[in-house]
Amino acid sequence: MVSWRYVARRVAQTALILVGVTLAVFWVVRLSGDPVLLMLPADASQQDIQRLRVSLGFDRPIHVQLWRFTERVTAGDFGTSLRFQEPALPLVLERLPSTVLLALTALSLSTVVAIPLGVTSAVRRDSVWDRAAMSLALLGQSMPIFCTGIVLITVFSVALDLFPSSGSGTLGHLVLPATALGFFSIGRVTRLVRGGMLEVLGQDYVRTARAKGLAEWSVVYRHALRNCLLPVVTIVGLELGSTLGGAVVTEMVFAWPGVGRLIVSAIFARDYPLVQAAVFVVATTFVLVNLAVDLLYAVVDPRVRYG
Amino acid sequence: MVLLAVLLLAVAPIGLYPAGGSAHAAGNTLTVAFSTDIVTLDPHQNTDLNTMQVLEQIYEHLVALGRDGTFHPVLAESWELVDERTWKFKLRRGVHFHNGEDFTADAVKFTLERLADTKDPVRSGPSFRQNLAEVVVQDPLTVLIRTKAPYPDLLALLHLSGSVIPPKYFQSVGKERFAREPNGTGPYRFAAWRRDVQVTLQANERYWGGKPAFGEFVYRPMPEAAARVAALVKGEIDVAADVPAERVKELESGRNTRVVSYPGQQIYIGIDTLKTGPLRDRRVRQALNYGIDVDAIVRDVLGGQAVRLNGPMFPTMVGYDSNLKVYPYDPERAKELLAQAGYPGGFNVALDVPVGYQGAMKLKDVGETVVSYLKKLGVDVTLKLIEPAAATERYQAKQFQMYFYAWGGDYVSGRILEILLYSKTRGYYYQSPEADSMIAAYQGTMNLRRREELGRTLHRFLHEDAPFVFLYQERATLGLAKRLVWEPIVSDQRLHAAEFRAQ
Repeated sequence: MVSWRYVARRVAQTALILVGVTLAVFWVVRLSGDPVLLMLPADASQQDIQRLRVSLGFDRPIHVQLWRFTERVTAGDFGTSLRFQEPALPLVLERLPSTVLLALTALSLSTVVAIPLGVTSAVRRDSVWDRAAMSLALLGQSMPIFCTGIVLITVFSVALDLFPSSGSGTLGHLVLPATALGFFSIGRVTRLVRGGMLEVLGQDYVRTARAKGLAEWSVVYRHALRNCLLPVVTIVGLELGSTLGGAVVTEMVFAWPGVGRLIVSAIFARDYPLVQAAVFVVATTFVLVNLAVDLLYAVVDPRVRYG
Repeated sequence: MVLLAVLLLAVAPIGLYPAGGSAHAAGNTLTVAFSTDIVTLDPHQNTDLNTMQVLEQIYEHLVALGRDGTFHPVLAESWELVDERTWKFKLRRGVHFHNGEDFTADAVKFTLERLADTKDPVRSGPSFRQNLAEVVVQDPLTVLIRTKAPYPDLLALLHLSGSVIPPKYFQSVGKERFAREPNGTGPYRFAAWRRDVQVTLQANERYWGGKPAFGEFVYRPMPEAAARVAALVKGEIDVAADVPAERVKELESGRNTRVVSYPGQQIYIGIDTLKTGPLRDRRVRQALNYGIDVDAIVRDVLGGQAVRLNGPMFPTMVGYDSNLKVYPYDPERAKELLAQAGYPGGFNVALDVPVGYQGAMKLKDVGETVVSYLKKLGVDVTLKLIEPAAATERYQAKQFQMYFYAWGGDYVSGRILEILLYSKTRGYYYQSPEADSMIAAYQGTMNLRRREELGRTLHRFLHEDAPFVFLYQERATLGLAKRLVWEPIVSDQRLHAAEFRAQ
């Protein structure tokens, strides 16, 4: 079946990537400056500053800090959030499900819309449907999520009063943010499906299927679509990455309680431990999803199986 | 179908605002929305203004600033000066913390000692550590507070940071639990905190001041200003903080909304007067003040949502001289002064702009406008956009030549003068022996009339010595639901939910 060497190699690569990410976060976050000054009010004296610095261990040389950091991370301890005074990792993990829910919903919505849209565009190439679909795709890819979000709030929440304007808690709260986030992906996936379908529809086996007298829908969906789905699987996996990134903006606009918002405010406040924990968690999620997609790809596409 | 969707989206941005009112925020709940979530529930470990909006409902101080600009009794019923360094406070009878613990002089002593503690210092503590000498309990309702030196701003400090906490409760739960399970004397009790979602408080039935009108207070963090405005318009919230200037008119004319504004933080351009160069000369600094049309900036860049300042002091400070005129826009005078100082052709200088610093409005746009004005004088300004966090660092490291800075929160005490202009405290960018002696006198006089005189002289001096380019004080805007009956207290940016009523 699947080459175990392939699996092992991918897993090892994943582990290395995660190590690299964590180290990179450690360095970069410290290069940008001193968090202690932000923690205290403007009228803090030099003694206050120094006291806090020592108590947080920021006075030690950088290699000592790195060693302590590595030790603790292997034990799953990302330290205490400087602002919240609570362990950093649990703070991130408690918000992760919200972001994952948002991202997955957005991705599902966009896939569910993009596939039929792409297929229709390919089948009715250059028709008014095709043009409209491509315009929609272009709109989705060019409009910043921030903009889409505000427009959706203005139209569907304020004007039409169909959904709550922001926040979370009910299914109704999920619709607008997921749509805003998904709208971006719709463009890319639609065009990909359309391109893949166009290529496949010109193939010999499709002509054969038609010649055999099969119904058009059968030709399109059962024979053609299946064969162009492989790249779509990869793309959807990659889209998860940009969706996770887009979730940051979406969460800010819609006041959605996820990891994105947490990261943004932690970065502005130079809350090192929280930034590190959050980036690590998000990177891990992304890398694991990619791993899953790659393995899935290997299962689905026989050409990848060996080596 | 696809076309319809496309059309809808194209049409939407054309300001579709609601004609029909929708269901309001639940009748008995007061819902407010600010840009960030709260950080902690421990009032002594907090310097964040948004977090204070919640803490102010749970905890109280000995005194509070009233609408008339004077200090009113809260947990203290009366106070008097025993001598220059000793204040005697008589405390209010019959007050309890939410868990039933009695409020007595012991609580005040415990509170102030925690704030002034140097071994396990708290974040709100610096001014207490610097000024508090000792606290003596005379009887359960009388307490003496002694300062290290005469300290006329004690009431202001107590009003801002002296939240009274319960000693027995604190000692039994420890500081970590205390930061999650608050227990104060205020009109609202803590109910729940769902991070990044909302903080819920319930009315304190046994509040000494009478049960508040709204049974529930909900604080919702909503980072995006447009979302806050949308929620206000829809009636999902009652108070929207930090309304952008462009939306004010629309909210003012809305069916269910109105806008209130009150003076907020001061924005000024700090100047490094110490390093060699043109900025050492007071004439050059005055020229900068004459050469920028601040009125135009306020009107055009900020949409009128700011008030000009004639010096570093706030209008609510003791001794503020309202007769002192602001620097008029006079580029000719500016050029004259530059020539007199020996710089007829101008000079080069760097101006740091911490974008988004303390939520200041449009600093980048203001900065760019300043650059264009100064160019006309021959002063070539290189604008440097920096991150707010970097601003604090560079400030402390004395790396600025000219820099945008904001000062807010405390509009009453003399702390701004001490921290920014008194060389013995910081002295990073300005060291003037005259200013020093005036500030020391101003901060050390207990006699109010004398302090007013000193303040006026000091303010005038600083106006002329121009350690800053004096700009403006922002107006903080709140969008309110029309059903609310409430007006803000000038010079206190913290809301007091117990003051709100529904029509």
